[in-house]
Amino acid sequence: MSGIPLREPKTVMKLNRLGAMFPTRMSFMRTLLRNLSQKQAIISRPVWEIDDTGFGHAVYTIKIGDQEYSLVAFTNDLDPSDRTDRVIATAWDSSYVLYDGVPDITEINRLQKSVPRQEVGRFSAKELVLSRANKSLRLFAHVVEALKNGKQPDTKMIKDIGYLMRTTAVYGNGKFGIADRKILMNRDILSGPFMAEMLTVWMIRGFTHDLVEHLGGSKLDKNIKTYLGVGNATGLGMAPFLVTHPELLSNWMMARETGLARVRAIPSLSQRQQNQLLELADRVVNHLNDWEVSDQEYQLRISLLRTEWVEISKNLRSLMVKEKPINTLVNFSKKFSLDCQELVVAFVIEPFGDLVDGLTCCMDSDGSMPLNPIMDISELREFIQKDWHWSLKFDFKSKKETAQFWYVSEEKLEPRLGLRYEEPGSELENPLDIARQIEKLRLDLTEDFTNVAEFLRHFPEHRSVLRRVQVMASYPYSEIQDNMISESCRPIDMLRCKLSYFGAAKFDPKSDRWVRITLAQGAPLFDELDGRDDWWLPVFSS
Amino acid sequence: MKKNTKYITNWMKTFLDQEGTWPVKSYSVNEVSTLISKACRGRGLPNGHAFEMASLASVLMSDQVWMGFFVGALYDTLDEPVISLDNKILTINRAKFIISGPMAIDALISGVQTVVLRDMPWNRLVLPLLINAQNKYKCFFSFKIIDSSVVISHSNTKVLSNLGDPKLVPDPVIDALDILAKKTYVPSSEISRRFGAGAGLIDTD
Repeated sequence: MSGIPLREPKTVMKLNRLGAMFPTRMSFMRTLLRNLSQKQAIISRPVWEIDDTGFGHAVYTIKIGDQEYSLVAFTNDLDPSDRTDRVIATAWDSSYVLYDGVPDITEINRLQKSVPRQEVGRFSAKELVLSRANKSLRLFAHVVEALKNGKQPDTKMIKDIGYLMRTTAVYGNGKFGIADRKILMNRDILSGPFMAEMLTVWMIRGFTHDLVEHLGGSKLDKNIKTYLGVGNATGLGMAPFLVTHPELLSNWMMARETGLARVRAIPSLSQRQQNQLLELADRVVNHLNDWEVSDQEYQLRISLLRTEWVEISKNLRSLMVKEKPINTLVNFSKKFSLDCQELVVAFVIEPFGDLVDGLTCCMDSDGSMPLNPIMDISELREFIQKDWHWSLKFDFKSKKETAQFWYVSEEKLEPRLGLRYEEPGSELENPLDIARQIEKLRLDLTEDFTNVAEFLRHFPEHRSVLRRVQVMASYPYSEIQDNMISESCRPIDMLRCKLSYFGAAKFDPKSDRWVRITLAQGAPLFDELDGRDDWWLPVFSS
Repeated sequence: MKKNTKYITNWMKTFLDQEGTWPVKSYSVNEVSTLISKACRGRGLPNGHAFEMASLASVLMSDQVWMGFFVGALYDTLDEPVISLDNKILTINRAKFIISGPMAIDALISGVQTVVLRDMPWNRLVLPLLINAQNKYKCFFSFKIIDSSVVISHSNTKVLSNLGDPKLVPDPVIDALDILAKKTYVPSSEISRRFGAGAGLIDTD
């Protein structure tokens, strides 16, 4: 099988392309569920102290090999006026912790005092992930009511909403005193990026199913249950992550691009593979038809994508019998929108788990590549010339290219994006202006210095961006190759990129800086960890 | 700066006087690391130096007094260091830990044989700095404190060992770091509330 080169970072790492990404079989939720199946994980519910009105607590324990983890869930009576998805909220319908082991009653009592308080509480290293969720008011009440009447809920509402609760935060890696991520590094399948967080979300989903069945007094139809995922509202807080974790971002992209290159190199497709692609193409049609959003611009993108997918589907049979059919299909898609191109990427990866699934173990990074102070300045300049030419095109004297600034608000420590020439605070901006920093570095990098150590003794202010240059030399997909402070920078593109790696679909933007999505829709249920792995772009089957 | 000096002199006196009786709390390494990074930026350090200081968190946390010394170093005046390199010996006069520490490591890694940090307050912080550098660069260092100077050299063997797990963090340390970290936060305005993530959201689904 002769190779196909990876798509170049200058193509892939553009903000608008990142903002067109779709989940793949390499996304974290898919990887987690596949691994849980392989490890024959078993879930039990040792505690169910939920009263007739739906309030109380429950414990679910998952046994993965010789390790046990527990989701401890608390539900509270929330005044409707307190229900908001914003990070500034102080009360939620439900709160959760992923606990390392099985909590005894003393531990449950301790958690009951702190978990519902979320950010205000203090936690210990026994807690791995902290989360909270609010009910979907329309759907939750409707499902309970239908079950009480011995009926199944309205399938249109199930399709339209798709979740019973939506998380408004999922905290990991040491937040508020919970365990540092380092603790998970030797925990087998939880060692991968965001695996503990995905496990928490998947277990929350199971809890929401149990909760409505408990309140409704009868069982949900299995297809409905499978389709109900967990909603999530994601805002600006997540956006800077991709900039502040360059090695990690590169490893995510590298794994996906390597997977894509491998499938593009396939010389020909078997009949079974062709049939599988045809089935998936039909599923895409249904999925796109189900994907409706209120944002008009986004809805236009979806409409265009539907039209373009018809073209893809029409040509699929003939493309699949050509030499290197996947490569031919990917090249064919280049005439369509970025949404379509990236959908094709996710589509062609889907049937080839044998070629790509192994790459998911290369997606982590501890982000600790140290600065190399011995590097010659001439070598550094070469790297800048080679890898950073994209940053040259921005004119930072223009107000358009410096129109925005990233900062953390004092009010609730919430990351925000401000308008530099209209709002106060730009002197406190967070250093996400990477392209501008490169320009400043370039101006100071003269021949007067021999190596990096000497240069930084004179210009310590360039230390951070200089390290990024060195990181990029080893991690080619580490930088978003756009200007993050430009008037045209849309945080939602960063959010979609990251969320697609989580496995989210049906992105539903509520503005250019926050988005609602659904996770674990179509995923196996608690009693289905039997290897079922065919739930990419789920569609509702009534 | 005078205000800082007075604050930290009083702070450090109280901190050391009360050693062992401070209220303490459990913090994750990531929390402390993030707080140090913000505090460094609030102190006016370049982002790269803030990153280097933040990477010391797990080592600093293994000794509560070091945490206090680090606060001292952070509040210290930031004089411009005077640097000279002569026959593979780098001397930094008026050395301040948070600026000169990373420079010393850079120099040693890039081939300088000896680094002398002159008149550096809080010079015991060199130990966590070197332990962290050993872990990062997989090479060994040794150091001597002679009067008010610290002399750091390469070592053929490992003479500086890791110092154990992170300990509980004294509240005064967190409070002092927090004061600086808050200097990086932008006060809310009407416009920022309007454009914040999720602003205007009403949950009706």
